[in-house]
Amino acid sequence: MSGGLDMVLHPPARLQIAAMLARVDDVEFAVIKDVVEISDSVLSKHLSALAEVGYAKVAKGKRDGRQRTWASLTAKGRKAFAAHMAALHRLAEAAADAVPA
Amino acid sequence: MADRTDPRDALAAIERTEGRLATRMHWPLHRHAAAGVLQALFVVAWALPLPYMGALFAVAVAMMTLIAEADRKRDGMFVSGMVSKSGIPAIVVAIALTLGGIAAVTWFAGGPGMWHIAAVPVAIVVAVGVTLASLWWEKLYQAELRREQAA
Repeated sequence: MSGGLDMVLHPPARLQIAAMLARVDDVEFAVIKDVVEISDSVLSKHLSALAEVGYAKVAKGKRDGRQRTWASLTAKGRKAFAAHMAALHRLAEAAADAVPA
Repeated sequence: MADRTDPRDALAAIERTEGRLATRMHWPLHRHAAAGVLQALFVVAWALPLPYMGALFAVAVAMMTLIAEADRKRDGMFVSGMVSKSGIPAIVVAIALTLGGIAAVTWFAGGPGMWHIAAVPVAIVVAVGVTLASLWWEKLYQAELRREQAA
């Protein structure tokens, strides 16, 4: 942690993914890719990193004859994301206050 | 390229993501109506004799699963009402309507598990009311996503 920031959530693309997962119960890989506008490989890498620390759950399942990947934020992940957002807001306010009028 | 260390850039990027997400967060009218019918089933169940009550509860639970699966198939995601803090008032209204409906049908019949024709109009009121509450929830959720984008 640094200034209340969670270093796992710090990479910009990973933070976007977590932000999207925080707004849904579960979502398909292809939808995250479209909304966050990242490649398959980058999304896979970040989802794996989130899953590794227990922030996200990734599940594969067959639907309409195709293998699909679903992701969701765990309770631990939701808590970490909320704390990270609070820290970002605090830092942004401090940065704004530091700018002379 | 955004500065990775500036928290304002990180927050702005999240707002853009939520803005793009908001454009996808629309549910068809029949999906809202399904939520209304589901709650109406729970209400009608209280006016039925025990074996039928159990069967209708089972149907309602199965319907919940089917609704979630249909959402995943149609939208590639499932969003339950509790995801949005702004949407809580709409959820409270839906729960109040359902509990009020259950209280009404049991009052008309003189107790749970007894049929009274009043269960039909009460269930219709609950179905329509919860459908409207569901539409309201979508508006609140949309506003939440867009307000944060504009913040």
